[in-house]
Amino acid sequence: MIHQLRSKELHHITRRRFLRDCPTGLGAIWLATQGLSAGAGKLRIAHDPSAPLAPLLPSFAPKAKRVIFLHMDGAPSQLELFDYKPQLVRYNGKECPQEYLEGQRFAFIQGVPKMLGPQFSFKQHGQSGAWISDRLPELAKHADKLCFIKTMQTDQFNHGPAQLLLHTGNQNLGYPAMGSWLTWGLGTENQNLPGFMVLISGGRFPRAGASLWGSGFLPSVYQGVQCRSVGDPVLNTTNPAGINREIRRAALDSLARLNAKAHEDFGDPETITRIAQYEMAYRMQVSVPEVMSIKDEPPEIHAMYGTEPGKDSFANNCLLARRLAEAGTRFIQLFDWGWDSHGSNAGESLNDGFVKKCRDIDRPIAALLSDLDQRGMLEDTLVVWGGEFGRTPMQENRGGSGNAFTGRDHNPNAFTIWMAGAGVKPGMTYGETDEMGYHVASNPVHLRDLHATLLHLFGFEHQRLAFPFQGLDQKLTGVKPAKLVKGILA
Amino acid sequence: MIPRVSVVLLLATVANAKVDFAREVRPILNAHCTACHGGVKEAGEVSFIYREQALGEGESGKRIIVPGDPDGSEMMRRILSEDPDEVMPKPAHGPRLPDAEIAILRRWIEEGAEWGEHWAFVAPQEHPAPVVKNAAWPRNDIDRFLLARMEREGIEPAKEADKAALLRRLSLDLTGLPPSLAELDAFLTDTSPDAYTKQVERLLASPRFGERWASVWMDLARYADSEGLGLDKRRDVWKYRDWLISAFNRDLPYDRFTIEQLAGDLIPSATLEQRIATTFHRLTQANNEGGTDDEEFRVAAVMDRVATTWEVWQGVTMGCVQCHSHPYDPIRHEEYYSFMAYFNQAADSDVPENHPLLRVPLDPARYDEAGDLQDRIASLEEDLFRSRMTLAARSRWIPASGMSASATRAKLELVKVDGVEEFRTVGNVAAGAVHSLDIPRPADLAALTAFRIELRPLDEAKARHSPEWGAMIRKIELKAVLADGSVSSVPLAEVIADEPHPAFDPNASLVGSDRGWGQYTKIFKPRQAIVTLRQPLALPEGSTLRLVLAHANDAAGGSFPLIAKRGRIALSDEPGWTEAKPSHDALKTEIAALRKTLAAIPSTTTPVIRDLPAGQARETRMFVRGNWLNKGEIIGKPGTPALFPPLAEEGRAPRLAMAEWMASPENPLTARVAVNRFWLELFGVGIVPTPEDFGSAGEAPTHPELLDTLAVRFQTGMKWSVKSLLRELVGSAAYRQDATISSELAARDGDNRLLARGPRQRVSAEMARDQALVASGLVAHRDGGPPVHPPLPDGVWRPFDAGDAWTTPPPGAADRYRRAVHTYWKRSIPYPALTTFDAPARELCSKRRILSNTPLQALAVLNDPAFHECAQGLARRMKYEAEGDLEARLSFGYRIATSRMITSERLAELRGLFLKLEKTYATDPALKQGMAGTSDGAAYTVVASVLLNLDEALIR
Repeated sequence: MIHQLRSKELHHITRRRFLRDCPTGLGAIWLATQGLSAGAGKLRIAHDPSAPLAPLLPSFAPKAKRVIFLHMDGAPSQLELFDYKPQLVRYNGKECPQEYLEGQRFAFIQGVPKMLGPQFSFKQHGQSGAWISDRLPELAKHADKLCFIKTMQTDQFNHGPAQLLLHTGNQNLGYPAMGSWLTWGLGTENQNLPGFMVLISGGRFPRAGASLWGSGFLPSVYQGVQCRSVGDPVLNTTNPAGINREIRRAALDSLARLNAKAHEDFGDPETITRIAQYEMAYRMQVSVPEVMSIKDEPPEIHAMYGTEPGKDSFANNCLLARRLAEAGTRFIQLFDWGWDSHGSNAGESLNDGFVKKCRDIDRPIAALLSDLDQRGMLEDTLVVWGGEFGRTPMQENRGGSGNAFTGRDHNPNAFTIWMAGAGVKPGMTYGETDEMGYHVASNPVHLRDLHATLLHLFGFEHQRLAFPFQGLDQKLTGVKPAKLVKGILA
Repeated sequence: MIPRVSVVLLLATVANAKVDFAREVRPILNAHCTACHGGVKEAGEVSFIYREQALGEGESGKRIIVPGDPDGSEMMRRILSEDPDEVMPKPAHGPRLPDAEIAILRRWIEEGAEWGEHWAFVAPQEHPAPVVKNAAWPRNDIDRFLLARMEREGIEPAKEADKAALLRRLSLDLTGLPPSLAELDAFLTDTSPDAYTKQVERLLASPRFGERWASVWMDLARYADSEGLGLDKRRDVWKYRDWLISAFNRDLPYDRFTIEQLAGDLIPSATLEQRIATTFHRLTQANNEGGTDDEEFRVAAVMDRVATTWEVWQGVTMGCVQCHSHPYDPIRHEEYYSFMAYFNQAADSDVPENHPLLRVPLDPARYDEAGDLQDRIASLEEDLFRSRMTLAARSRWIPASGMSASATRAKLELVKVDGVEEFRTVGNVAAGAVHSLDIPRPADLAALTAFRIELRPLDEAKARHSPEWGAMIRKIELKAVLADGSVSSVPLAEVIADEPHPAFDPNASLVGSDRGWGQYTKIFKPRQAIVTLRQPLALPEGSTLRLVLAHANDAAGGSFPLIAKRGRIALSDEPGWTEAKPSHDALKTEIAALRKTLAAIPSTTTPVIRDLPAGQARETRMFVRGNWLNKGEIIGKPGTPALFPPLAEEGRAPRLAMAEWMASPENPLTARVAVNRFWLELFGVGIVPTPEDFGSAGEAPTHPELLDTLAVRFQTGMKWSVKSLLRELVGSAAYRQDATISSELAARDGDNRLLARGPRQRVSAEMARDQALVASGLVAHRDGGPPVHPPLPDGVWRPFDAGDAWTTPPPGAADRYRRAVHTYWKRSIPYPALTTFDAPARELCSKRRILSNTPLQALAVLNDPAFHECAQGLARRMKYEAEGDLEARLSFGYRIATSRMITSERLAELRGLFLKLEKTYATDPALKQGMAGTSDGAAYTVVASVLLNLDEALIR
């Protein structure tokens, strides 16, 4: 009887699936009626309500199938990692020229600060000759896989709004995250798992909280699902004490039969959807813990990532990211807290906390790149690394006097991110900052340009992936003009 | 989803009548033209928003639309053109217009290209109910309107729902709670003709009614117990939630409800409750993260108030007009800023203290007492202030001149402006700076009695609209330096601010405090304080006064030092400043006594709207392209868009006049939007299906005459009574219909817009929690109080602000089992069981919850600790409260969860499950650990969980 219901439901889906999966003929006609053919105007994204995460096709052939986004929460210093500035070495300890201070807003710098030279030594790596500091020796071995953008720019210089702008395209709360836009536009490949998963390390939540993976005005089914290291990997996947899988199955079988009767009584299609969702919940109870358990990974993998099962660590999250990618998750978002190196205390300083943070991420990221590569997944997986803004070439002097620890203030004018994998040129550097690494000298890339480029890699024109809300066709790239960063496309 | 009904709508349009601009032409223009030729862009100097523009000439000099002459109209020529460089819309922007639409445009131009206002911007008219064939079905006029449409479409209404289903629907809709078994039995056995009406009245009178409707309004009000953004710290605003509950319970008419929330503070002799109502617009997000500019987030809050006011009361999207004229509707860019001016004088300015705050007694019975005390204190403070300002005006003030200045942590220079000497800082300053000013004794100064410190913005003209960082004086000291170099301290008596009710005690600056006198945190206009001496100070010739101004050691947001960057000093020898003044002393004593009485009343606080004193009023300017840093034209006075009927202002504070305008019968939208919202809650879809947009980009009403008639009646006959409106809606035969969905109806009208069947909605997030609490027997009702912390899954609570603890009361404690409306609502970590069921995070005004149906909901009701506790409660009720055999107990549980009588098939299913589980638990005692101690108890718990997860249990 559940079978009957399923086939009813399937009949409904199958017709669509047939139409969609058929690249020419009928499928193309259906796509045209859905507005998914190339051309102008807003796309019409139409989901089957009983399978809102079923995969859809984008506007044109995508380069990327999934993203692993590594957000270094707090904003790591580009000047200590990738943006090598020999001039800054010379200015080290000198008073900051007034021209750098006028009209600038800082979070904590007061009075006249001193310039701060790079704190670590730099070398060129790989065929591409990318400058990478000695803090990331393992990553440096992958220099030729990476595509650096040295000239990222944002409008926000405080963590909360800047993180929101990076992830949702808007500095205010209430807008959908990149992952929500993509799962709304594309669905996901594994119907036993959410399409947008979030992993957090570093001991603290990002400032802007769950809004960074919220679905905003898009339907809630597209919000990011946070995987946790404390408690259930996905909220409520563990049965209460005293209920094992067998009992749960028996209960769900009864529930399904009773709900089928409700459907007989009322004929509500939502009831069929509900029966299907309970089945997916049951599957998730297995698939989520399964994909989230790393203990059965072979020892060489653990050695490569530096993982320890059961630990709340960035390394574990990198390995989980690969597992989720393999399982068909569309958007895998990692946050690693602790990169806000103001120099106000040991943890938040370049000479202490920052060094440790680099050590925490170096091997796992290198391992993730190797691992994706050896599985042939780097071709259609996009890896993005970055923070919400950059840091100043001046040393921070909170309260106007010198700090015990070395640190830098927030700098929204120029910062570095890198990408690797699907659709981006490997072993290249895009854009250049000024001699102090404070402002952009050539080829600025605003966050909205990054968003436009990301959507392009997934087969969408950013102007067309839009959702009407508050009287506006809302887009990830917002209302200001955004441009595709063509220079980095493979 | 395919909008099947809209096809039906189109067919319903009467042929051969004159083309209706608003209904037929505007949608074509909006779909194909206004993106480039509208409020945002006027490509080729062509816009189709206003008639005079559309009838004018474009850049090319050709007339865009010539009334009566389609062939002479450039618009038609371009639409029909075969030339890809000429045709409109441009091929890259969209396909050629369908022939049917071209025909409409042509006919419309032939008929004179008359403009017509969008229906929602014209005042609603009452319509007589249509005559229907099936005269037996309607119970009231709502039904006649609905039935007339059904008859036109050739469909029939459904039969009446069975009584149990009806009471369940009614109870959940009106109070958010399912009926108890006793209530069900009472209704089922009541055969009197008014049995249903009695239930309606019982539920409308229930104190639970207000809780249900408050949670609806809280989405619109973006109510949260934390301030959002950056730190997202706790902010006490729950007295507003309690005000809402009470407002719905006492059926505060919707016009008063509107006025009190928008301008309660300005109502003559406003009560404490009316002031609490203004917390509505203090629920905007604040940002107190280090380094944030308080002005940026003050402005963000003011803009949010504009957008929210329009969305809540007018169903008009105003947010977009911040940057440009409205893309579709005739609202001009500058009109946004005229409206913003109503809110731009609110004193709050994104400071961490959340000023201005209202002290509110915990016990509402003491509101009047506290309100009265506060009024008396305010009035006495004004008396005192006026008396002092009179003296200040009478006093001689000698500008300090020939000063020398030094400073630590800052650098000072002295300059003369218009002959007056003033100090200024040079370069960057740091927190805790200390200014030291040596002032030579003026030749004609008899004996110093007082001096005046004046702080000025560096750029006074600009600061009026774009303020600078202000100053906070930690300590004011005066020293007398004699010619021989000896220095003595001069005892100071009092610091008198230039406002009657300063946020911090100015006298704190005499003893030393980071929060004393100053301009906190941004300065718009020159500010003054008079500092009086304990006794007159006669200075010998050749002596100098040394004024030391030490600034606060902390900086605004941790990074902006609050340092006087520009200031003037003046000296007075007016004897009145040091003379004994018994009348002032009496005032001060009385104020102190009243304050003490007030302080003895156990209270909390709530942030409220209060306007700045007139002298401190800000200048409102347009923001060029919506950018708050780029100020444009000055806005003379606040105003409402010209599209709407004018506002009567005379003699009232502008914001109060605006609030009354909003709630006036002339306003075409307020009543329609409100009626539609209550309708949507009960029927699942609004008469206007887009409650968030009544403008021309929103969807048209399915039953326009019904909406308008209800809107007029809501204002007139019902006198804005929400309970009367709801009584009428639930009294209709349409509401009372059976909810069964036939496959024909599902195909034809899946969204149930024609209402040929009863509504069948999933319970709301709050109802899901509340219903489980009621089913478990655990629910603990209360009338208001601070937010509570029910059980939360492990690992969820990791707030950025470590001080914001989530402490769940132990099992048995009442605060563990409060209705969801009382749950602590943190914007960055909203309660997961609520968000899983589609509650918004309440960061912004949210007009509609889009209901989802997800596996996470299944997991929540199955496994969330709070739901599981409820399953255990329901299990206990089946085992201990019910009487009779197993079947009787299972039937009892099923009925509690669904309000329905169980069928034999279902009973067999549950019985089979129960017996199987009981056996499993009996053979595996270890499994019972952490559950019920007995096999039957454990089996009841699993069955109870199944019951709470039933489709029928999740539906209202």
